[in-house]
Amino acid sequence: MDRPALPPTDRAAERAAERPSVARPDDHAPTLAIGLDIGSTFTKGALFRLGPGDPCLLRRAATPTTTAHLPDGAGTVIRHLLDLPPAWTWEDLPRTSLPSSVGAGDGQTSDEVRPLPPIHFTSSAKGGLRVAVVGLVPELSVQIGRLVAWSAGARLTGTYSYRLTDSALAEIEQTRPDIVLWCGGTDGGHERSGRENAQRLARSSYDGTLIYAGNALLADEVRQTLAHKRLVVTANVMPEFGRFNGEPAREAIRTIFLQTIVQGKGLDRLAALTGTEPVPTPRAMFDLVGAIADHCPDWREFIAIDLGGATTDVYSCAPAFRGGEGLRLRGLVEPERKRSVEGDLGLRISASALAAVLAGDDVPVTTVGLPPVTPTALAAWVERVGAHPETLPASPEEEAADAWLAAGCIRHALRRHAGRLEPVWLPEGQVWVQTGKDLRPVPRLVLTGGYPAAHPRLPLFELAEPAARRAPELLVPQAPRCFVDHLYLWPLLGPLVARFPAAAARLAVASLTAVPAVASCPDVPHTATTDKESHPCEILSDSL
Amino acid sequence: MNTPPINIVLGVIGFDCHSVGNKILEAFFTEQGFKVTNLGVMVSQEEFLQAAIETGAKAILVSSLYGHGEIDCVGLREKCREQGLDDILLYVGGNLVVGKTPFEQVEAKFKAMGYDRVFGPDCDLATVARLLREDLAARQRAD
Repeated sequence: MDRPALPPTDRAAERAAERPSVARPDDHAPTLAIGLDIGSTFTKGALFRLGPGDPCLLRRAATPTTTAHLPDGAGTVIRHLLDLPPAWTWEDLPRTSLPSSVGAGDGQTSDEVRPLPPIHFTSSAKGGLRVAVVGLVPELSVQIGRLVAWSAGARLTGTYSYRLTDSALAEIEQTRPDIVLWCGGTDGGHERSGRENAQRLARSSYDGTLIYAGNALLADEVRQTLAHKRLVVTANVMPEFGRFNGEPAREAIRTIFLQTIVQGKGLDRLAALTGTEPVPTPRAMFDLVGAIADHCPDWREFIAIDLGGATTDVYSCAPAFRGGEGLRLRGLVEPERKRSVEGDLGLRISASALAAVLAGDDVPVTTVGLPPVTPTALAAWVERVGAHPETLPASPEEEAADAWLAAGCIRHALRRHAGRLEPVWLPEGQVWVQTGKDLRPVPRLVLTGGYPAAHPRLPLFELAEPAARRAPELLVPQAPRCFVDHLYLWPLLGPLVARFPAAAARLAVASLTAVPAVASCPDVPHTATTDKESHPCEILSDSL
Repeated sequence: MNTPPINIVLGVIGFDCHSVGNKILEAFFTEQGFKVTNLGVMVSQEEFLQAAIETGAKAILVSSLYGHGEIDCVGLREKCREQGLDDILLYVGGNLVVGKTPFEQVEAKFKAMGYDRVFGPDCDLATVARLLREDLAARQRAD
């Protein structure tokens, strides 16, 4: 079988891997582990040393995703990471032991037969996990359904409220999401729409999996009405008014992903040989963000933005409402850990949708040390990258257009993720009504994705939300320290959270680089500042 | 199987911050066997409606104590009809208007707005609970 060529490897990383390390008292049981991300375009992987002591990256590799049969590309990456002979394929996994050249300095002698490190993988191949949400009131059960689906790593194909209309049903039949997450009504609450929707879904030609997570009183009736469909009934996502109960539905989505969605792409066989279960890529990222908040004391509150070609995903770890005099929360208390996905904000496939969003902005088109972006140049760039997503900027003007789009993604994804304040005048004075999450005091913001990794010194947040123009009613971070996942490791650490939560979290934080601080003036050349953040993960900084 | 408790929604409407009476009402109606969704203070009409829909509430109990009750409460019945809550009971109580308007006039005004029962600030809660049960039973018979 033809195997795609690997991109040039990083010799320095391999030399670093082979360098004998000084054994420390807590280093007795270092653990190697592989994180793989099987994306729609590339299959990426990294070999890490985790366990006690300082976790670090040893090697990384990437190859174009073999869409016809996903394990082939994954095998190529594994073979490279573990220094296995060219004839090796993923089917040899059970018969393979770890070569002596890999993970040397672990205190073991080279003639010892060592088992392969655990391999954990995520997949977003073939469009990722597609979910439609059906609920009752848009601001309540529908919103909770959206948040649950997002936190399970899904991309939403549609959201529907109240009774499913004929056109809504036709849309579901046509878009064929992998899962319809169907909620609405507190336990013992609203029944009529749920009952009607059960009958309508029963008559529809939709043949994916339905998850019922609405009013528990209707569950038996739903089971009867939909006996001929693939149906999973879980606990209500909102059992009482305003109370979140996302975990059972999230778990149902994960199980369905494993049982039905990964089948037929070869991932089930890869899972059988590795002994680990694949996770949707964004769910792994959500888990990593949570693990960082749990295990890194300075990172209890932070935001991560994953800037992609098709979507911009925002993850926040921060309490929704902090109280305070003259402040009142209206509507749902959103969860402390929240993911949102913006399908119209992306640098390539979604560039034209993004440009339409940006057209309404009142933030001037200024760039940081780059030429100004004219509307004509922007339009030409948007058209090109929309049609040819692999396009890279070839001139300063195109660099500027790309930077402008990236800043626009961050601005709008953050504003939609964050809440808002509305002033209200009462006889006793002014009060503020808050909706959504108050992210103003969040001290740290991380950018991950191909674009930020390639431009780690560009002050994208400042470009997105210039301090001088920040509107007080937007509850976006006021003055976060910004960091970039400049090695683009987070998607490869995500899959390892299930097994090594603390080590993966610590390495994720250690591998970040700080974006140089800029003065509030947006016209600072991005090469002028030289703020050097101390880098606790030595191997990463000097070898890659 | 036991009959599930009747859901009711409770809150102080508009930009009214009076929270003590609201907590008393929540405790009282819960003790009376109702399933109470208490939205607290400064509740908009939309929030009452959204909560009533999701919880399948049979009654909305609106409080207003700061004198702007009239302007805050007008239109709630129409919004209920618009949202398909045709049969829901609407109760309102508190210091509904500023000044010394006779209660009969206040009651007539709020009934004209579509509220089923209107109570002053010194009403007897046991009476309110009794009337609520009677009105709910009458609604059920009518179905």
